[in-house]
Amino acid sequence: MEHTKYKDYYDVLGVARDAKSDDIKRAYRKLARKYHPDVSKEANAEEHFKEVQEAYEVLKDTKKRAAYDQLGSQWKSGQEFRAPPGWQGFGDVNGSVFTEENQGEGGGGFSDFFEAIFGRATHQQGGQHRPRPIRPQRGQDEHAKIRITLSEAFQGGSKTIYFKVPEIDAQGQIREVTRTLKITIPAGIISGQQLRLSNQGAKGAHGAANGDLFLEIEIEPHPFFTLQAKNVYLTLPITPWEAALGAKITVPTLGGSVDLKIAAGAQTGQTLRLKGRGLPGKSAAGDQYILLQILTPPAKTDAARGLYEKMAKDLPFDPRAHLFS
Amino acid sequence: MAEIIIVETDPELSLEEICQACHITHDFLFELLEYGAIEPKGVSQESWRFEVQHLHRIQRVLHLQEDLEVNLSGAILACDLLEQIDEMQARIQFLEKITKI
Repeated sequence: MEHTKYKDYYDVLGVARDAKSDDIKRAYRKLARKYHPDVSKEANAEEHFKEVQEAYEVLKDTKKRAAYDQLGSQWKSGQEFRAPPGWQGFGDVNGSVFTEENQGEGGGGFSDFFEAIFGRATHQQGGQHRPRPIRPQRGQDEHAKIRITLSEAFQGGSKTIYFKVPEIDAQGQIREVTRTLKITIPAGIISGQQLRLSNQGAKGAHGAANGDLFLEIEIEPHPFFTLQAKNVYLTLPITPWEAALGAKITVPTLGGSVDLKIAAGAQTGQTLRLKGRGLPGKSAAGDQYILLQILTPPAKTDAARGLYEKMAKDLPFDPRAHLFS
Repeated sequence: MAEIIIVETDPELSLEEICQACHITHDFLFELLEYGAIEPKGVSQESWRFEVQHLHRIQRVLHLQEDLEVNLSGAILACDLLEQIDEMQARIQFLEKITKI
């Protein structure tokens, strides 16, 4: 016997139990705008959106709403729920749940709770009596995002990726399957770049070709390198004497450490460019930009305080003159 | 024996491929072109080449029309603005990271 959690659809839409259909429609439209995954910046937008859609699906339809109301108003959201004994279900929900469009987008079905009340939607195209056409149909393309490290983006190389794809099994039900693929990432690939793996998408029907698999690259954040397209940015802390006197400083780059010459008189915010030290490219490699940041050592000991006080006395320097002239 | 999978970078799609992938008619695509919503490379229809980001843009327009009852020109405008927001957010994130003390 299935255990599902009760969903308070009125609560989801933020309407009273005796709300008129106009109120319900208005509430739905507002929330749909707020949580639509293409538009929303809210966390878990897609989840919220599905919930809102399901609530509206039930409450907008007088028959479904009546059936739902019959369950009674004493239930609370999240409570363990079982359909009342003798509950026949509502019969098959028609067509629109599993269309070809959302087949490849992670199921798109309604919750277990919905199915407990209204029955399970089956994968059918339109009417139940129309015979399925048995012509070859190219498999759906699939789209997935894969995360790689900055190091992997720089060097390229072989990578094994795992991702979940929805699949229709023999009973016409959608379930998630984990796929494993070993691919070669080209060196110098950037975030947002697309890769196509031909024929690795959904299986074609009746002898037709498979769809393709499109992968979008996402490069994981790095503890100290910041990436923008092919360029790498590094904030480099230096000491006041290194800045004032100039210095030779070893800095990390994607391809290993290099020595950098800082000219005397350097200031915080100054940018130095290491040409070609970013991600490699066909036409040109990106660059590495070093942003200087002078950090002053703390004046914790008497000796340190003494040095600072001597500097204050011996080095005439008014950095705020321009504010009061 | 491990299967060797060919990876194509920066894939390009033909007119046929992009219409199939988005489940749209040629006519709908031409309408999008008339609005300047997407601009393929190439001069003739046969030589048009679309990118995956065009595909995503079309899907976004379709979702806005279907789910949020937006008309076509409104959906295209919304798409442009959403992309601008994404770019700005990325830029803000980048600036915050490199100016962090």
